Amino acid sequence: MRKWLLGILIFGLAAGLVAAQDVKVITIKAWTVGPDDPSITRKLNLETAVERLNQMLEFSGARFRVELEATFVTTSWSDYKRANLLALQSGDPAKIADIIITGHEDIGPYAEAGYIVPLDNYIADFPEVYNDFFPALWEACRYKGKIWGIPQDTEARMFYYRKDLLKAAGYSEEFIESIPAKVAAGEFVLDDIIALGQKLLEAGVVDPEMAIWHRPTPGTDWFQFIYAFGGELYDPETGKLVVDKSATLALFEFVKKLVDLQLTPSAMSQISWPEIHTNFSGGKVGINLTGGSWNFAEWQHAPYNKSFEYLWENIGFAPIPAAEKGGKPVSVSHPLVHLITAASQHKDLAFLIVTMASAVDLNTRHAISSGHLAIRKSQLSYPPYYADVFARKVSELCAPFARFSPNHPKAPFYWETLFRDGIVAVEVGALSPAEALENFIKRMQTELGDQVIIRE
Amino acid sequence: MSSGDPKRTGRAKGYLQAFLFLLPGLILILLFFLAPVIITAVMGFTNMDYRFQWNFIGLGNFFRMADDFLIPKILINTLVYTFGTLAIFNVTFGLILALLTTSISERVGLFFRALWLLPRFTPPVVYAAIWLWILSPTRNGLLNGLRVAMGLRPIAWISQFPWGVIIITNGIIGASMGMLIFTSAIKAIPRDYLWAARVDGASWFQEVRHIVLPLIRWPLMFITAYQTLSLLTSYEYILLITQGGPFHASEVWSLYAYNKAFSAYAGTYEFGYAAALATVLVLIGTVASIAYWKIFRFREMMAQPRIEVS
Repeated sequence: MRKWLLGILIFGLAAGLVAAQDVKVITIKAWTVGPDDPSITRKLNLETAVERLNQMLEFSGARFRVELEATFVTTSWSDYKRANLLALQSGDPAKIADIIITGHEDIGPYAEAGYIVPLDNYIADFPEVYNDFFPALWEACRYKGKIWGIPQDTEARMFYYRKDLLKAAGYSEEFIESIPAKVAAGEFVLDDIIALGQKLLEAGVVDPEMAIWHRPTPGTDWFQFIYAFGGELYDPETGKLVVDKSATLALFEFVKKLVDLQLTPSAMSQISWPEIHTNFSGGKVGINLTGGSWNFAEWQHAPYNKSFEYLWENIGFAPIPAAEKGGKPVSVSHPLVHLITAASQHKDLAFLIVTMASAVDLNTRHAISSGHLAIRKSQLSYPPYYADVFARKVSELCAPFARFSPNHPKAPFYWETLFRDGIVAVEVGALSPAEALENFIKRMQTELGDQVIIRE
Repeated sequence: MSSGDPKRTGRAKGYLQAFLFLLPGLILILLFFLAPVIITAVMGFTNMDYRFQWNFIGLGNFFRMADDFLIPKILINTLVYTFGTLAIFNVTFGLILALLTTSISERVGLFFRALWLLPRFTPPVVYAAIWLWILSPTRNGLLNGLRVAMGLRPIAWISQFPWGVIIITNGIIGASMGMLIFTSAIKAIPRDYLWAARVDGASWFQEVRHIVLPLIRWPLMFITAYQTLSLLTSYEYILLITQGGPFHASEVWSLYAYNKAFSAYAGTYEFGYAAALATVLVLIGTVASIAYWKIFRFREMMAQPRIEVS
């Protein structure tokens, strides 16, 4: 009897060991980022993709499973990118993720440095998925003729206005509701935003310097105004960045007008994000000049906690109007991308997970819960996406006017300098618009040398 | 003969023992102080960027620094920040705190000293967040809230007083270091000197002027030298509170180097140029140390103690 028991025990142990050895676990690492909290679905979608993949592996009797180790950063873009870069330069696969989600502007530098791999061959393996992506998004993933990233999401930038405050300032409901159509038709221009702000102020609906606010930090948002004033940022022929003198000067003069008319505080760059969101979503500020579609989701979460119905009723939006009547509005989009690192030991598997995370249902879940836009054509007819009035309206109002920030390694330096040495210098009164332009060009030339073209 | 000389063997042994005792410290200094300086200096001769390649470009970065039109402004900011914080807070205010808290009852003095140590114990990010709230340009800020309550218009504190903001926010933390050192130095002064002075009818000011200050001369000079060097390289509170802005109004040398290397939002990652900037800062620090050593005659301080330790 005891012999039997011992036999069974040994057999069981051995079988267990064999089984444990049999199913190998492959760990795939991913770095993901918000920094807004609702975008946690960037991480969750990868996790769901891995769950689905494991189910398939189990079903097919495959002898390995995948485990995902994913991080989600909510501090700031700059923290996230700095940490990524420092890990990437180590070249150590143990420290480097297989999948990175980041802004498309990182493709240029990462590709140059050899941190990521081109994906054209992988993409060709899944035509049924990737032919469904909006063609414009691939442009943001291209660098030196190759595709280096898979679009993860995109968004639209717009200006938001408080319908309730405009009404209180005496505007008719018809006028307020007609703003988006007038913007699209080129009848409502940038100066009309100033007129709205002035009226809000004169009517006493908002306090001085609370009429028009903007983001306190650099960002691709500022490029929209260069486009709106008829400028260009990039010369596709030479691959160099462009500083358009007249458009840049017009932007600086526009900012000066906002401050001089007491619509915007001169210290706008010193106001924190939470304070900005609290004041706008709470109805203390009339216009949010540099809004994004993700803000609408942000305001529905803590600490702002506004209901969708409240926001939908009181807040309207439209793309950034042109400067001249009859011009085209603009909405700069900043697609996020999945990248596969050169250090990854399982590139095929990582790419498969990215492909599965790009499923229509998963991407729609992300789009709706975080205020982003569809990346696949079939999402537009997918009922949950179609049913989301906000996403549909953004697609309708802003998507036709979408433009991107140039895919140049120094584009972030461009928008950073445009803001800190231009817009802020003018706002605080340190430089006049003309001086700021001169200073800005000097800095761009010192930093970029022959990588920048100055146009009149 | 030489190897057999017991005196010499003994001395060699002594040196070896001393060396072995110093070795752990020496390794730390080489690894964490000297090596980074050398690596930074070498990196300063490259144009290293996000690709992390060691492309040597000779003196390119230093020529660029000469052409960089922001440098004069940053140099002035650095001097104002370093010597302003030093003169107002780290030495003068630290000294005043030490003098006052040692002149009152020990228990009350201890309480106030503990109070002044609080900012130093507060995590920098929290400390900065509190200041951002105090200085907010809107009426939601503490100072502007008070102004609005008094019927005044809000002020953009950071734009209006960039130097004041970085000096005060750093000084409030910095003062406690001087306070502690000066307090212990004052307490080490033999009491009979003070009693004798009091018997002779000296006032509190006369005591301070003729007994205390001369006797704490060395700690005063030490704090001046030490804090100069520490202020030259510190930027974390400036980064957190003003980010060097607006328009470089509060950007100091070390922050400029940091921004060049790790500038926000993917920025520039110009590690080569940043390393060259940092190297210049190391040189400035070295020159300042030698100058202080000579001017304050620190050799004498090292030679023999001037304060009796009881």
